[in-house]
Amino acid sequence: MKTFDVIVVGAGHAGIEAALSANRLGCSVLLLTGNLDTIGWMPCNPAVGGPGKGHLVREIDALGGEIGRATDATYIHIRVLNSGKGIAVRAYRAQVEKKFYHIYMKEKLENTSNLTLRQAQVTEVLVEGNRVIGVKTKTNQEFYGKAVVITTGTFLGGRIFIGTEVSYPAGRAGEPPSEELTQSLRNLGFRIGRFKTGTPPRVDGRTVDFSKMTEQPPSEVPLRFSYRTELAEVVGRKQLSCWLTFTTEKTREIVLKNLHRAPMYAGQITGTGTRYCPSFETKVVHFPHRERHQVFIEPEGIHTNEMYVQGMYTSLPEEVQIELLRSVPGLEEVEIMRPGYAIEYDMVYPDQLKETLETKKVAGLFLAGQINGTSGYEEAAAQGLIAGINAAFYVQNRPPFYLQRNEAYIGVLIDDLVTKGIVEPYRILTSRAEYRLVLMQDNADERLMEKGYKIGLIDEKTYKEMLERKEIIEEEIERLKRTNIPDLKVSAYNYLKRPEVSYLDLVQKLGIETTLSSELISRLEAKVKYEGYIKREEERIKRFSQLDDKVLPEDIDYSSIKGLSLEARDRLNQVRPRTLGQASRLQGVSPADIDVLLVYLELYKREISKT
Amino acid sequence: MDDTIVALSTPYGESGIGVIRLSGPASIEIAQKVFKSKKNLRDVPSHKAIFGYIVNPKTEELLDECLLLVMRGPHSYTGEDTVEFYVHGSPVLEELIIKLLMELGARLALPGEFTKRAFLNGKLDLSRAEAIIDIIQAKSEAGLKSAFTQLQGRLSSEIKPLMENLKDLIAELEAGIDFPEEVELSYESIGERISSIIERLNNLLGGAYFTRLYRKGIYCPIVGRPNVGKSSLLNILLGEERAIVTPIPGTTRDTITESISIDGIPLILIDTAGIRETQDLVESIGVNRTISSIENADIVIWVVDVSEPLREEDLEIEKITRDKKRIIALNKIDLANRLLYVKDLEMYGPVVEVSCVTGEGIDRLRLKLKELLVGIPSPELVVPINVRHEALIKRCINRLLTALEGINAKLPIDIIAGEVWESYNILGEITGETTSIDIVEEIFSRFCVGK
Repeated sequence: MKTFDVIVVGAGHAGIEAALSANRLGCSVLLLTGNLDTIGWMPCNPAVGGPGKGHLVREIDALGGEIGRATDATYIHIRVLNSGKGIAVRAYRAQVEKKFYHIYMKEKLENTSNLTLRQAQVTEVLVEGNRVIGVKTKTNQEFYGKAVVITTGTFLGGRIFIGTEVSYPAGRAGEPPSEELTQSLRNLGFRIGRFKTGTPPRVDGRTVDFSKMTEQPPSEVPLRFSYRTELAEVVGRKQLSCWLTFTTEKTREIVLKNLHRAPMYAGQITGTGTRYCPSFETKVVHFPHRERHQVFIEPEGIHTNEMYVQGMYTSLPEEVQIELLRSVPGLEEVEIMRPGYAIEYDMVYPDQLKETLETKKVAGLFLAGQINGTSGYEEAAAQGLIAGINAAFYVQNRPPFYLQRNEAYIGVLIDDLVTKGIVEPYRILTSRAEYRLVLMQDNADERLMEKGYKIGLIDEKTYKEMLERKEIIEEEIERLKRTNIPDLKVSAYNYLKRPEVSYLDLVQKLGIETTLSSELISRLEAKVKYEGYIKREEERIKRFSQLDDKVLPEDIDYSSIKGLSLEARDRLNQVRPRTLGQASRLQGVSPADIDVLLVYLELYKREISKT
Repeated sequence: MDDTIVALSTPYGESGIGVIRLSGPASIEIAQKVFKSKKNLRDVPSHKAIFGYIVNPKTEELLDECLLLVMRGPHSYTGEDTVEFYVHGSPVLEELIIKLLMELGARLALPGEFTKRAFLNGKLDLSRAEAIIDIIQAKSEAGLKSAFTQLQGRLSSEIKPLMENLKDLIAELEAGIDFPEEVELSYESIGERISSIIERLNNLLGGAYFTRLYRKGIYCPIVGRPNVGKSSLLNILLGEERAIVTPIPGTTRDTITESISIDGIPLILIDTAGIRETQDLVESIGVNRTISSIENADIVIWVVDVSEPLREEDLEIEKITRDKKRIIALNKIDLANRLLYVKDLEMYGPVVEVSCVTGEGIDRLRLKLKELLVGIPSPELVVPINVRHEALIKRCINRLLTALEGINAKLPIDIIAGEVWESYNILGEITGETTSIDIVEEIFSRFCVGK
């Protein structure tokens, strides 16, 4: 039987990026999914982007990933968030046509050569020695691969809860879970946890009274996530609005009256929920003094009346859900099309992974997406990309590829996963990035495209275009430095640094011509206005990244190092970080322990040089 | 190992010479900023002594003359660029210089840190590794212990609520950034909160002044013309015979220093030589010292003899103590009063009548001294602050001021948040908390956000 280079299990947002990147790097890829009709599915809100997440999408795009292209091709609403809060945290957020997004991705995969797409449910990882060799399916088929990437989302041991009486096994509404694979992973020695998430009800748009809500119109300026999307593709795109309303005192009363019927409060759900994605009942309990909560009504597509009710994820019984919704202005007559639910699933603690997302225990076995305890399509896609690249490199014997915390949100995400000890579903936030000012959504191409080009995922044309953009901005900056503002005795460059001055103001004041697009203008402004801050950030990076350059020997036995605290010894032996920087971010490892390791490394180095 | 550290390399205390050592990549650059000589330190040869002056670059104030040695890495003890200052061995001066170097970017070295760097840079042989690990361990243990000492505890208990305030603020800024559709930010309220934190930090800096005051004590010379009973007064205040008391004028030729405590505040009493024109060389040195001790005084006790009329020399003393806080002690009330204008003396300051023979009035004198000390908070109220703390608090205030300026200029929140994060981290260096904020916890326990 044929041996594939890379087998990817699961065709969600992680699986797609993994399969495509490994394939684009020259690997033969087998992509297995439990259901071909839900490839690239968005079982929660069909929204992409937002602070941190939008940054991830741009970074994935700069490294040749697909999520940005697919979003641009299928969005039905896009706007800028945080436009007033600073260039570093400004991000796009889009609503996509859920069905179209799936179709886009399925079509892409089907028409990629050397990529085999197949419906199958994987039940077992096949391992020889400590190397992965393939997978086995529910129908007793064996597929062989040199590397395997597992991206099972919420399917591992998934169980849905709607009220205290309704609970059944499912990977998500309407789809069976994967029951056996967890045991296979457990047998391989992985520590498994159980996490929980959920989704709100979907309602029929025809039964919503939008006149009682505030409209959230899309951006009038054409926006695009991908550096490879032509402007013409998004200009004149038909867009829909989102709508804002608020819960009432009555909504609160209904929740409190029915709290005993919520599985989370009745104790049926034991999985760890996430604080940033609380159910509506949790919000009411934890913030008792808050009179009202925001509710956004968002379209799920153009060819459907289904609308997403953001802010009201709940696992209360269905009859309570409808009562809840109808207490909200504009939803008095609303009809539910699908109820909301909570879901529990198995995950693998990601401190068992290297920063390539390869497991430390089984060579060639990679994990990406929700199985690693994250939530969110963008987080999944980012991991899928990194796992796919490294699976390909593993097969091709190329050195591993990873990103540092100061290079990308992807670096922050994966470093957090492998060092921090994830105890609840993990979502990216800009506040998790300590070097946030250099990691802009806008400059992801400058940060990463050269890497993408060098590893072989970015084509010559895209790369050259990035260099051109960079050059245009730099030339304009030079011109501003040479130009003086006549009545002020400052250069145009320094004048632009003033917070209240925009580039367009400046151009007008000087009476000069400009050919810069609005995207380039915003990047130029970022460079000029943030220059001092970025310089300081770069100094900080220089100061703190030294530890990340110090690689710990692989055969190091932490128990034998005198002077380490017991806690540090245990954690270091368990996680076995690659660098001193990673070690410093482990819980229980103190600065004194790092000093001891520094001394140890010096001793080690001298011993090596002696022999 | 990328920052520059500073420490006093000679033992603390009065000595002929004190050596202050800077080590790290910025040491030459930092030294250049305070060192005035004809030569530019960037160009001077390694291991060669250079003469010059230490000057505060901000105030242009001359601190000391000094010999300086630049040792370029790797040819130095630590293997890094190192600068050594050879200054006069006075603790006050050394502290001042170290503080200045810290303000310019150096960090106070931890115990054993020069040695640690030397080892990591390959300057020490393997046999020292164990010793260095011991130092690191001792340091972390000592750090743990010192967290419980009263000194550290007091400051920490002041700093921690401020860190909590900053944490609240950070959580709010971050929630506003990461959940823009759900959390609104107001520049005005952020600005107010930052201002109030700055104010409280400034109050703590005030504590640094009083800490020094407590450590060195309130300087209180006892002055008067010869033989008015200065030494007797010192003795009776001390309750023991310390100064040599004789009826011959000019017995006290040198200053005698003793300290007493008034309600816990240390008062340094200085028995001075009586001021009069003198031909005696030894005595004249004593007189000069008297004059200089008046210059340094926080409070002066001026002793006047009631058994004799006022003399020219008394008025001379009035003149040189005029701009000091002072108490006039009318001594020898056990003898006949020959002083005509007792009432007039009250215009020069509070007057207390005492007798060092009978002890009469001494309690009243103590009481008056206490009154003059009003305004100096009692020791329980002063938060003790050392040089390192002071430098960190100043740095923190600077970051917050930058944030405040940013708020006023309506700079974007991502930049302001950066300053607030930094200021939080700086305070963390004082309390020794190395763990970073669990920002997720902070945001979600305070703000109701999510799908």
